[in-house]
Amino acid sequence: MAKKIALIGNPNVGKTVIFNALTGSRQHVGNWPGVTVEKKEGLMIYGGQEYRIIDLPGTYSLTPHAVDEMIARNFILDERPDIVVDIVDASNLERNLYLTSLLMEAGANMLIVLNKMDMACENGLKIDAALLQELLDIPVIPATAIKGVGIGELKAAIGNALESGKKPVRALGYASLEKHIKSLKDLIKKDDALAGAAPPRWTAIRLLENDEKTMELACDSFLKADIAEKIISIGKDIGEDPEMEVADARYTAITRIADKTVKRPDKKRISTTEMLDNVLLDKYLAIPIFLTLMWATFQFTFAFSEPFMDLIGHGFAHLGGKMDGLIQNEWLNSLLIDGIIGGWGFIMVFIPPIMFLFLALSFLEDTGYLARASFVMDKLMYKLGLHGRSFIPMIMGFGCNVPAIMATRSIEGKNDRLITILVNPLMSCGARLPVYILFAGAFFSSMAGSVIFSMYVLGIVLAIGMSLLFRKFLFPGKPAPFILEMPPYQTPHPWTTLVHMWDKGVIFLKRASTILLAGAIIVWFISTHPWGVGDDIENSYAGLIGKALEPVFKPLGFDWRANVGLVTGFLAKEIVVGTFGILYGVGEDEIGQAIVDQGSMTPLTAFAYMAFVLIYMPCLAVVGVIKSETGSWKWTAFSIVYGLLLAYSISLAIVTVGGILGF
Amino acid sequence: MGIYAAMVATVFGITGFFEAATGLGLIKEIGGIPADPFGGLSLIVVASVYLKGIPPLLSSKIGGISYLFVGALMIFAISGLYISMLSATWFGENINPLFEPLSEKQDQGEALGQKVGESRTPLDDFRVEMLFFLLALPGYIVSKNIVGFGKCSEKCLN
Repeated sequence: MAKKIALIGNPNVGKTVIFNALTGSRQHVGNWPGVTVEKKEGLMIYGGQEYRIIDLPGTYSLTPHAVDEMIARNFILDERPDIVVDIVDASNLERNLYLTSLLMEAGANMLIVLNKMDMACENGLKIDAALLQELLDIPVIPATAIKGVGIGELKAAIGNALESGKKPVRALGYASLEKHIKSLKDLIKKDDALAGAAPPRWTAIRLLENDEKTMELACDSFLKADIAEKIISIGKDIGEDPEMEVADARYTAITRIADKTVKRPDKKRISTTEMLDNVLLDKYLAIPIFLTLMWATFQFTFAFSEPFMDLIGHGFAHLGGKMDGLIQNEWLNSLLIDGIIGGWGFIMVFIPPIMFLFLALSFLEDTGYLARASFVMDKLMYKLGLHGRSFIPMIMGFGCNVPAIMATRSIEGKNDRLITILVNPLMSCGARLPVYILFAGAFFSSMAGSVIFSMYVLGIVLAIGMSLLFRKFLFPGKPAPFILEMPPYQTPHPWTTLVHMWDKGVIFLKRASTILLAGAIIVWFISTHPWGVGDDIENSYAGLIGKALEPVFKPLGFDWRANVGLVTGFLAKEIVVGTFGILYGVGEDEIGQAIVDQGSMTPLTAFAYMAFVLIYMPCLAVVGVIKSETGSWKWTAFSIVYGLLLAYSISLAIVTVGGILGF
Repeated sequence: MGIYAAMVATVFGITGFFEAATGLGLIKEIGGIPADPFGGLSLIVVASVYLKGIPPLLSSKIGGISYLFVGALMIFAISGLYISMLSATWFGENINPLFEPLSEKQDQGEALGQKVGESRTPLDDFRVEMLFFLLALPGYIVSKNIVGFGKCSEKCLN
């Protein structure tokens, strides 16, 4: 049976890079904390032996506060992996040793990877890895995983550690507290069940720390009264809160080790990270700089992708022309040309902007800037009574709301998490981009990039506003404090950035070949049936649906075709574009012009329509993930209903105010 | 370097102001300066970065270098953005037509988001910001030379 090797460490220490290097996987690596929110498994083959490698979510401690921390703790304590590889950030050794101390208490068979040695070195730090190994009595492997340095040594160390078998773990000495830990440990040993649940030293220290889970275990013990009495007597003896005393003893031990093993530069240097942070996190400049960079991102996305979109459009038009008439049966020919090739063309033409958007966002993420963006926004958000950690899933929502909602698992408070889930669909995902490009291109040609940018800003503003309302009326109280570790800035590796772009963009490609193609065929069906309606689409099923909704959407200035787009957009937002193409009976590169020519929309109603598509019901996949993450139909239904009402109100406000202003 | 930062901030700030003001319809268009509210605002932000760096640079504080460095990076990004837009237009005008015979629909001469009869040339996309990176270059070089960016040796890494 393959041996179990767990990778654990603080967030953003490079666990996923090491996981990928060991297993040959291509899991997403991000230069910000919280990329891994659930454990991932891979297989490593070394020396003819198979190993199961488990990448655990980043955690600062083993005291469970958030879902991802709980996953890491449960795995270490319950699954008892054969080896625990503790990945430590060499440029921040002292803070990382906190988790190391907990793993030692848990009695894990450990290896330490001293990762990011290059960064430590560039910050002027010199680390004595051999001395660290001697002091902790745990093998220490220096590494710069992103460059592949130390990976071979790690594989060899895993093999050696398994061969030599588990050895007793040396505990960090907690000075005057040791005698109390020992007395509590001796008491715990009297109960086999309690002593068997976790190493007695671990349980003793957790009890002194008032750890909720361990307390529950102790309550089930026949020794619970003795244990309670012992803890009270220890508190009286040390004259302080035992929890504080344990923390103090642990930090003293860690500082002692760090002082011995880390040589800091005599003269403080200004590093690139410090230099950039001086300005990018500046009290007054931070938010304007963030908005400028976001604007540049969308401007780049729109302008640079246009000629590539035209190329793809030409390709599909050519393909449709060549295939037309090859099938004699009129119905099948229409299905192939208008439904499949035409429908797929409407979707595929948006690959360039989606890929370029993800390229720009991946670049910003890889540099370490996106983590700063969440810090920058946290200042503002906390003032509004919101949780800062919410911003990371919200930025992830620019890609796709499904993984973004899953990323809310790193938020500790239940209410904070629920608020973030409910407002996440307001972050404009990649699927909405084709709709914006269509309408912004058709109605605001020279300002298209800025109009698209305004949609993203609208999404952020609404998300903040709705969070505030939810906090005030549905989940009163203060948000939990937000601690975010800033990753260092780094020059993105072009290949890594391209891989990130691909990882995000491939979701769209998969959707294009499955749900979006199916959606396009459905739209073709409802717009051509009852069979024989021909160009008289108004009398097709699509026309009937659109017209039935006309009284509802008339105040917003949407015609029946726009209404059908909103209905099909519930399957996936990209289908809205294909719907317009089919209903207007034109090719993918002519939709915008057709809408303008037919006068069915004005720039104002087009802007309101874009806002509606941004805000209203999330797509089917997002509804599914909201249900699974909240575990509640009530909140799932709520997210749909409030989205619809908000979309209607905002679009109505745009049309009304814009009309008054003469747009 | 403080005077240099003030000079650069003035050029970027004035250009940004006119771009934004014309874009918002507050003043009439001036030849050579595009009407672009967001583009103008982004230049004003870059100018603010340089402005904020003036006091520490005048008092020779090392922190002042940060403003030259970030200001330069931002203007490189903006220049790069406009150059990429220009190259995209060039691509659209010169490369795409080579593929047009592939399509049977190209005789309409329409592209998504482009109005009929509207023909763009790369020169239409030329913007003065494309040259602004030259103004920021001295500050960037100075900041790179003052702050140590040295790479670590293999020995140090192990």
